[in-house]
Amino acid sequence: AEKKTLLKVPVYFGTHLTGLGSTPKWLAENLNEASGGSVKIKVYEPGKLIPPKEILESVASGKVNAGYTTPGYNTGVLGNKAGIFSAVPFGPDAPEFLAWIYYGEGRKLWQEMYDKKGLNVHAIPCGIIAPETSGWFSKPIDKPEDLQGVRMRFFGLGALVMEKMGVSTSLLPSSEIFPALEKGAIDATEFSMPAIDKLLGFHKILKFNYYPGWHQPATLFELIVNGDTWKGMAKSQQSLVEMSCQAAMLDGLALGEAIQFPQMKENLEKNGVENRYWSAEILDAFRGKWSEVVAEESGKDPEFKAIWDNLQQFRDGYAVWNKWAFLPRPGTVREK
Amino acid sequence: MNQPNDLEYRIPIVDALNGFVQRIGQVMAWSNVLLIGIILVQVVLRYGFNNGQVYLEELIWHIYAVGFMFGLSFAITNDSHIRVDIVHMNLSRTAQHRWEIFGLMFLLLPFIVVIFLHSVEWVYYSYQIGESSQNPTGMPYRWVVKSVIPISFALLFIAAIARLIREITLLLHLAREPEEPYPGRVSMLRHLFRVQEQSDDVTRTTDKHGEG
Amino acid sequence: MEMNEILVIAMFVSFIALLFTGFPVAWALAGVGVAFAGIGYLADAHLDTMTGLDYSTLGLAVGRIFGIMDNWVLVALPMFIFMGLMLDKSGVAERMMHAMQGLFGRVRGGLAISVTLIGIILAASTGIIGASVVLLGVMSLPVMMRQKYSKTLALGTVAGAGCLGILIPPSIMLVIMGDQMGLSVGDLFMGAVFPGIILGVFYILYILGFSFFKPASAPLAEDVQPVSMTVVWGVFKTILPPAALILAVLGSIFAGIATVTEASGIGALGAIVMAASYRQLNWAVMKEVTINTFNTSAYIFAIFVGATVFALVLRELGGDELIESTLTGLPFGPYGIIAFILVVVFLLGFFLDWIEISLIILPLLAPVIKGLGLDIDGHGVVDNPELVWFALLVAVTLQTSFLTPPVGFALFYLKGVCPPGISLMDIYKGVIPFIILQLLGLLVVAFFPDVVTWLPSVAYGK
Ligand code: NA
Ligand code: NA
Repeated sequence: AEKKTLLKVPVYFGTHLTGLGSTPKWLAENLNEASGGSVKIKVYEPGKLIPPKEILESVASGKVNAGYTTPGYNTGVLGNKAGIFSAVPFGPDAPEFLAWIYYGEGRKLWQEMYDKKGLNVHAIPCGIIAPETSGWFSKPIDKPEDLQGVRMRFFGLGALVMEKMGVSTSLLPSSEIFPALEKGAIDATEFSMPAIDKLLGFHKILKFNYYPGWHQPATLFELIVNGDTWKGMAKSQQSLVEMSCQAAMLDGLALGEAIQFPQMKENLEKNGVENRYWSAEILDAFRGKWSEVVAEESGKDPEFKAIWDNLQQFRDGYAVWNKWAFLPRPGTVREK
Repeated sequence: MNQPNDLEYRIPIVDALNGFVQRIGQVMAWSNVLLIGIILVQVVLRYGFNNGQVYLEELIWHIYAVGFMFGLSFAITNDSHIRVDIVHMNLSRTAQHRWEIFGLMFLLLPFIVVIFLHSVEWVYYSYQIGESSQNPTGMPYRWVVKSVIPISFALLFIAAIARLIREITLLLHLAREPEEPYPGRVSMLRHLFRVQEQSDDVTRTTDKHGEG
Repeated sequence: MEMNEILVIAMFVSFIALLFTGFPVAWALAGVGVAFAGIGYLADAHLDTMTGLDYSTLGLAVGRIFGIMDNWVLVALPMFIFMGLMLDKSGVAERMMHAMQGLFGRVRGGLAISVTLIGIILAASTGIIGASVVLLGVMSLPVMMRQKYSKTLALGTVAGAGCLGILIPPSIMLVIMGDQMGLSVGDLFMGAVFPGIILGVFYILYILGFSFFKPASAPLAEDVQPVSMTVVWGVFKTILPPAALILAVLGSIFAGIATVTEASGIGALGAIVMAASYRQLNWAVMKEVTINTFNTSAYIFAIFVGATVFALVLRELGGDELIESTLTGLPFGPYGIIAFILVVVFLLGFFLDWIEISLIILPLLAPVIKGLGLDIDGHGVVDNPELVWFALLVAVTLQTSFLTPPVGFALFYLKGVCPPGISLMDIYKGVIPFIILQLLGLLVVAFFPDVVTWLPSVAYGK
């Protein structure tokens, strides 16, 4: 029989965050059972083994043999192109994103990003969630100027758009967001989906919750395994891990889609939260700034451009299918 | 403490090494005053002008990190790291020296070497890939603040070696034992609050500020 | 018992044994961590464990040290230390002592009450246990001896009041607990206010009662002036600046105006201004406070660094699981488990400082407490009310363990600054009533959790 492998997996999000942090825990439980002990995953809560920001470096250098994160949290190391493999503003939703990742060139480019940086990791897409809410505010944001001077926690490529809207953004880890709001260190925040945001308590302080999730129409997560560890695993072990990640992807998506509506009802009825849809004017402004960001980033980094162009090319093709195949999403058509 | 205390009794090489570490420490100590200044600027910008700066927030922890990391070696030179004093003070001088040598060789030095070697690689990695803050408007050149670890551990190594030489010298009776009426932290606290040697300092409370 | 569990226990035992060599705690922690990484590696090779420990894994410690460096909550620590040391140099404690003697001179036990009040107001600044005991001792013991106070009352008062400092906010212990347990430092500060006040009131009542029934133990000063408006005004004048500074620091956190970091920086600045206004500020003082802050922060953070290495290896060996399963397996019920933990913390407090306990023990306990399903009312506002309540139970317990003979820390520092003619036995006798008072305080906090959770809920509620 092959050598037993234990993957120690420090995670970026606490596993108590159902629908977000719970995916690696689900992965561990199911993989450990399925493998009959041949390959095991042990999950370490954020900071227990290593601060979340250090996960990528630690896996690449082999200090720990695996980790669960998302490229968008590692832009300090990988550059802003990494954001594309997490979530693309005004980009694809979950089915289209997965189509590009698995059957377009998405996954290949994803791995190449690490290889080109000389980071010795094997990246496995391992989780996806549907749209997030695009922010919690203390006051209504009716026109683009209302965003001027707001200090906001914001993730990924969307943060670059918000910066252009006059927002001062910072990327606080989940545990620090509520204390920062409480003390007025930030005025607004986005984090994830309603059921997850609820666990962080934003509704206690901020009463205006904005939709749609223009900044993260779908968000991908990854299991990164140290390259040498990966090569040292038996074929059967590798295949078990890959399949488990595909299963985790599906489970995370299904769970996330299932748990939002009860929470939104509670927000509305019990917590005095007002759900708002960005005005067409503001959404257009976001979209305009996003094109500027893409142009700038493509100019700065040819690899960003290559990945972006690849995604766009895929999307142009997909648009044909998209145009004919689907009913309009019921309920999403809004006035004006 | 900043003033040379009676623990430094003429072992030239020890004095030289400690002096080197202390001179650096005496400069780095001002980072805390700088920190007060930067926090003030941040507060004024934020509440006065509604203009909080992400890079200032990051600068605050950069400066704070410098402050305590460089202090680690400084605190060895004046022996103020926390010990279980009540045990330490009841050991004979010889036993103290023996255990200190044991601890330096098998506890502190291996730790310093491991962290130093790993951190050099880690800083080089950060430099090589051009790591910056993950905040879009945060500070670039993350390797600069990361290099605080290998540098402060190098100083820690020097301070530990100085202490090792001192302990061996004293164990072998090659130098005079220092006067040390109070163990570690007590003598430090006495110094901190200027306790006079068992003299009648009754007047301290009443005479120092006459007006009342 | 599994092999890795044996290693976990061996690791704890080695650490504690090495403490008795008198080697610095921080480096004992780090060194034991490194050594057990090696032992874990050998165990994997020869004893069929799966720790995954090796030289490379130990490199995670570097990232963990960096995690201490980029922690914006802990920035408050050197700032509060600076504030406390600068306040000492400003001479404000002596002024208060002097002024209060005039006010309380006619009350039996008045001097001891002054010491307690100064302990409450000033101790609120540093929260370094040795520092407040030494400061109060240096300042008040000679005066009380001269006024022929009974030794036991004088010593007990100083030790008791000096220990309040680690509980009453701003307390660096609470900053560290908040960081380690993932709690809001603001919640902990607010939560500590009533327990601190309750203890202070207990002390004062005890002093009044004791000196009433044993007048000889607390004689009045011979040269008492009648209490005039001038005296009252004098006391007011001396108390106002430090009280205003501390209220401004706490108030701005309380009101949600400033982060703890900002409040601490402004507090440090305020202490400089206060020293300047008392004409105590000069280059030498500034330099001394700066260097002492540097040194004090260093020996505290050294324990952070050592503990992070220790905890890393402990975790890799499966220490978390062992502790969790052991504690939850105890047949005591949730509150029995809490009582058990407090007894252990109390015993550990005999030889470990609060810094080590907050850094090594609390993070291991937090998940256990969370899983106990305690029903502590957070009034819909306080997050993790059961952890906030638990943190303060630990805080009060630690205070008590520092006072407890034969090896309480506070006693030890007190002995270091005593005037001649005072034996360790005098100190032991003096602190016993205060230990009883603290246990009473602990019971109040234990049985009425609202004492802790109510204030933060009001502070942060709508
Ligand atoms: Na998000
Ligand atoms: Na305090």
